[in-house]
Amino acid sequence: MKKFLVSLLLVAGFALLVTGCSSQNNTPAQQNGSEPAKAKVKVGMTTDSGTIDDKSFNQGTWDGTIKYEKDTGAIETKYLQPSGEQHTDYVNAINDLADTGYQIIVTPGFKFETSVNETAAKKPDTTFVLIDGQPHNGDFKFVKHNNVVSVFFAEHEAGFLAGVAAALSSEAGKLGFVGGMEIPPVQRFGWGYQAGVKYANDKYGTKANIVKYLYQGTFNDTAAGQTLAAGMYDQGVDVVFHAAGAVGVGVFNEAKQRAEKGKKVYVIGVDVDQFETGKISNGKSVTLTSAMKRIDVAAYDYIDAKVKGKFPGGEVITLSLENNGVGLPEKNPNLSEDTVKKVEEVKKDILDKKVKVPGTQQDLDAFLK
Amino acid sequence: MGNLLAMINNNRVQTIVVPVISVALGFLIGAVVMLLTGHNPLEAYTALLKGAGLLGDVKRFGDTLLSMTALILTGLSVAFAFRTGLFNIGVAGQMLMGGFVAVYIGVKFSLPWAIHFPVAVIAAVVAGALWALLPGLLKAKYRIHEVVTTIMMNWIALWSVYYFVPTLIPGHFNTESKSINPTASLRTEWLTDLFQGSNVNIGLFLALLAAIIIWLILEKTTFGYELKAVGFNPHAAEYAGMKVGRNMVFSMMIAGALAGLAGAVFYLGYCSKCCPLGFGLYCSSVDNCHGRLI
Repeated sequence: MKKFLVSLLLVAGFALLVTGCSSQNNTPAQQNGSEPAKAKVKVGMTTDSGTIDDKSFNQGTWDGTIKYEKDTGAIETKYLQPSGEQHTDYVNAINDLADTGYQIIVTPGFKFETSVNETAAKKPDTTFVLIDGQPHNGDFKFVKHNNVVSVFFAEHEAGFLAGVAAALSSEAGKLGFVGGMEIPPVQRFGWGYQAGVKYANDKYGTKANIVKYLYQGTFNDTAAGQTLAAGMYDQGVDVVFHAAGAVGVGVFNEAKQRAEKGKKVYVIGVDVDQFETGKISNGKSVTLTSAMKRIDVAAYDYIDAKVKGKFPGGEVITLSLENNGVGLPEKNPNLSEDTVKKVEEVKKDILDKKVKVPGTQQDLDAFLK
Repeated sequence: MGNLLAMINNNRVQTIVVPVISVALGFLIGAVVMLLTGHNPLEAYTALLKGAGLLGDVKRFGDTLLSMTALILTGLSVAFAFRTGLFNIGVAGQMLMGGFVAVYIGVKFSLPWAIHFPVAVIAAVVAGALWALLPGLLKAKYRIHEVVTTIMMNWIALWSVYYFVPTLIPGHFNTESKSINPTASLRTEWLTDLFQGSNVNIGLFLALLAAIIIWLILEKTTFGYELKAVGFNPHAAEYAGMKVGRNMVFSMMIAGALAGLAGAVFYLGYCSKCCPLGFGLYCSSVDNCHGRLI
């Protein structure tokens, strides 16, 4: 009898785990049971690899979405975390949202390219905001859907400013770069960074060099990121720019450990303002600045466009410095006043088209010559 | 009351009643948690049933069967090892190796469909069994506990696949392999049509077949009886003249073979036609679950 009870409890516990997980994934229902106003548009979001509080891509997208909800009250929101990272998982999550009345679905990341391609064709009444990606069928022949807007960013412009700031701030004159996967958005950050360093050297007479330029190969191997950063700091590098998701968390960990021991090392954050991520016990931060791409702005703007009936369906849009889609944070406590002033100058140069920031490997090669 | 107790204690009744009650309790406790956190459980459970296709959506029901396929096999692998007294925590690694070998064959060879996918599946089964061989041997020879060794083997599998995918079968991004050739896919048009576009595939039948075979082995053969006897009491089994070590190795290998098959049905069936071997989540989430179990 006792054994029976114990096994019963055990199985019940497991069943609870299972139902607990699945109900979280399958209940895109409105919260609190309150009756929503009739006009409210239901906006859903699916998370990319990682969770909603990743302090990066997912969180940025979600922040923009709920900001719109707070600002206007015209929408109600819900996010789903797909049960895995396969195409099928993404398709299922999108279908779960679409089938329960979500008219706008925001999907952050290139991994959604094939799943959005499939579901957009089958659900013409659902609108998709695909950030950092363009729909295709797995063969990279891009397909135009009138219910999808693809939003890209001019990462190279943010990388450029980061490069200028790094060159002006580095005391050793030795800089590093850690990329995640070698995919276009990450590469653009890197290309802009290289060009920015060169531009600062030419314009302001700094003598900075990128001595280590590496791609780790994933976005989630934190330990490897720390090892790479340790290697760089050991070589005398004092500023490392990471465009590497959770790999960058490893870079931060290494920099923070060294900063705790009184070493002067810095990290340049990515995607969002990572100043808080870099904080150490004395309240200072190892975050020199961050090369931001305003994912939140993208989510906000295109939800707004759809709600107001001005949705640019089928278009491929690139957000840049010009429309505040990329850039450095407003406050950079670790940059000197002089540096801030010079970075502003460079920003103006870009906006005035005095300098063209290279966005491809070819352009970069030409720029560096 | 006595009658009721007798009924509950009856084995046959228990095998049916226990799962039913536990699932019901699971729902109940889940409902309590949802109520406490201010959500409506009825709405949630309706969505759950609807999402699983139990309220009439054929494609969603197909998707449920699809998700079920790999879980039947991994569950079977763990259950089989349990029945023979072993705690196989290495399912994740065995599955990953099976899946890797299946995808490798799916990418590198081009054969007619009728040969290609069976070869890939069989190779995966063998790979899973071999991956479990070492822990089995260590247990049989030196009584090193399989919980420890299989967890170690999981990590070896993970990092091996991490290394071999980009070097042997690189895909578009270096976290995924090339797509398998369609001839290696377990999907068939008639099943996809039958389930209105769901990717449920032959893997489901393989899983059900495996369940029947395992039941036959355990319940209807001397070999299965020996395996169970070794699990219940190795000393008694040895005294009765059974080869304890050999049976342990076989148990581990059969459990590994089932996990390898799970890898094959997952990577040749569950993934879309471009079948990336994304090694992050599936494997690591299984690992994490195990981490919690210990």
